[in-house]
Amino acid sequence: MSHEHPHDGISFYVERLGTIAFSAALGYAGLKMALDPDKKMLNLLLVPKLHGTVLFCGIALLLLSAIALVSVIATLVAARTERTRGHAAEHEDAELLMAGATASAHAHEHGDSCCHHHDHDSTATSSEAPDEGGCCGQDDGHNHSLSTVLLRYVALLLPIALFMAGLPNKAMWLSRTVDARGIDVSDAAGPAGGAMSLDFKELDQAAYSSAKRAHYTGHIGRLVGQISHAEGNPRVFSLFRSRMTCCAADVTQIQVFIVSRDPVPIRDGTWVDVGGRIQFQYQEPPDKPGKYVPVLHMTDIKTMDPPSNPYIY
Amino acid sequence: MDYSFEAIFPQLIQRFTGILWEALPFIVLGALIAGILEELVPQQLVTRVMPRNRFLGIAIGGLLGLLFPMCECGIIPVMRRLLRKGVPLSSCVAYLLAGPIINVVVMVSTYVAFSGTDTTGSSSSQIVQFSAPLMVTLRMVFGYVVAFGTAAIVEWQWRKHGTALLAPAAVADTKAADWSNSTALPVTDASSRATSAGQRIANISHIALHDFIDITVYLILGAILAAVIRVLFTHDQMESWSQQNAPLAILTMMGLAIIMCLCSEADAFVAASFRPFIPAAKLAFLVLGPMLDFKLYMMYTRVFRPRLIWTIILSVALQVFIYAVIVHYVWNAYVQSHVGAS
Repeated sequence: MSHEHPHDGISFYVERLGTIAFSAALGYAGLKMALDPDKKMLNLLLVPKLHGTVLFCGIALLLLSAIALVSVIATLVAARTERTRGHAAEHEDAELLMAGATASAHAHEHGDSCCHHHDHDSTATSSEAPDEGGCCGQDDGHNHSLSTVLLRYVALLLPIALFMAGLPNKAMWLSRTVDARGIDVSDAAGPAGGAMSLDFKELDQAAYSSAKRAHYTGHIGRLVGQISHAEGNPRVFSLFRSRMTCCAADVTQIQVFIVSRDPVPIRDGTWVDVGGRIQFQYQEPPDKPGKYVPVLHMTDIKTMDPPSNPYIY
Repeated sequence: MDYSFEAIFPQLIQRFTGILWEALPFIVLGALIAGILEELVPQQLVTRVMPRNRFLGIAIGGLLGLLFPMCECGIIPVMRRLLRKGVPLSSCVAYLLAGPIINVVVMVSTYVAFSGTDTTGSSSSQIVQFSAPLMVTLRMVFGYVVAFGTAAIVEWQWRKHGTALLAPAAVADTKAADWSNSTALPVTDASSRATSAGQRIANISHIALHDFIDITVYLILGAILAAVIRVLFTHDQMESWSQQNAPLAILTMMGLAIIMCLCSEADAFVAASFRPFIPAAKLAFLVLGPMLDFKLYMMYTRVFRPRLIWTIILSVALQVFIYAVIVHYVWNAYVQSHVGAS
């Protein structure tokens, strides 16, 4: 009959509802993050151009979950109705219960979405339990290893739990030792340039091109970033920004050396606004390959509040 | 390096969550396509279209990304459903490896990422970088070659071991197809029965969600692994490991590609940001990354058994390394003979 294994029938629906629940939860988390007008959490996770994908993800998951849930309820209702009316048509009953499964008694095919196994010597059985993997695994079809199922749900709970805890909620602090050996702290001799807006990324890239270096050298400008003290040179410290190319996993720091006449008693990580004259120097520490680095000869410095979005892209 | 809890914990959380949410939308997309494929594409159509000759099948599999562009996460659910529709394993592997590289989206993003490259050897470095068109071309060519070579090896392994190569979940995927006799395919797959549009949409939803959840578990495990490794090894450490020794630079970038778990649509920007590295090392990063990283490894364990996984890993890694070293020395020779470049 169609319900040879009532226990398995229940576990099938539990698995299916579990899938729907987790998908919906992840979809909701994605949607909430994407719909936040400040994008507070998303800014910590992904570059702005990928924010739209999270919105798509949230909407798609919620939509699919809704459709799947309606379908499950509909089949449950229909199955109930069939049962009370008697087993007039076993094949139809099986079809209603097994979305996507074949109704043929001799089918070798595994129901794709509901993963049932059909015995050949009986009519298509309805809800045999799928294995814990959710897709046709072992031939016996009753492989519901509880610990594996639990482990899967624990893994799936992790991102949901993090979202509900509001994490992440602030930028990472990446401590690093900055090597300032070889930086010449004498004031740059050379043509004095006018004021110019300075950009961390541009300065970082300009270091690799002599033409771009000439474009910036000698000009005055301001830079906003975080302080990090450097080793090997008491009058030099590092001003850096955290830069995200894709997602939080690739965040690195790009930096500019700041030369100051006096020591700067500001704690590492503090946000500051620094003005000064820019130049590039070829830094060659004793045991490392040399390269050009941007150096700002500081004229003034003031602390400031952290910006709402700490990253540059 | 500060290894205190306050420093490590926020980093771990942020990097893990970043990897996850970058990949998740593409997995949803892949699962959706997998559901549509499963429900709407009849098995007979697929096996009629695939050539009998396995190597021709591999050649085509490697180019399928042009038709079905998909990033490396989303491609696994799609590949599983193709396997189920009767596409040979070797063709599936070719698609799995080459698909995330040989597609229009990746071509464009690679071009854009490298179009700002200073290709003249500046005085601070004797390294001459690839121009954007060259990087795109090399990436596509070597991506295809590595995928083809690996798929050919997989075909050889398949002839020896058959479904013992596949994890239990995937073995059942293949049981519906009978490749030795394409006329004997069962005609009872879902798409051949008349079902209402509503039923079809419900089926697609169930399949998509099932495939999505199935693979996301492994994505989560892979992302945790990647975040932990990423916290332990900093960008600066890796940059300092090698800038002079070419094979070491290539190996370093290959290691980075495995650790960093980036999507192939965007990894070109990350590779381009490693400004001082030799171009062959960046090429290695761009070819290896979409084929192998921690999250992919975990997802592979869902579909493949260790023998097949390690076959793929070794074949891909060795080929990428060898080709990158060859490219490096050939490029250097070319640059030397055209001294006017710097």
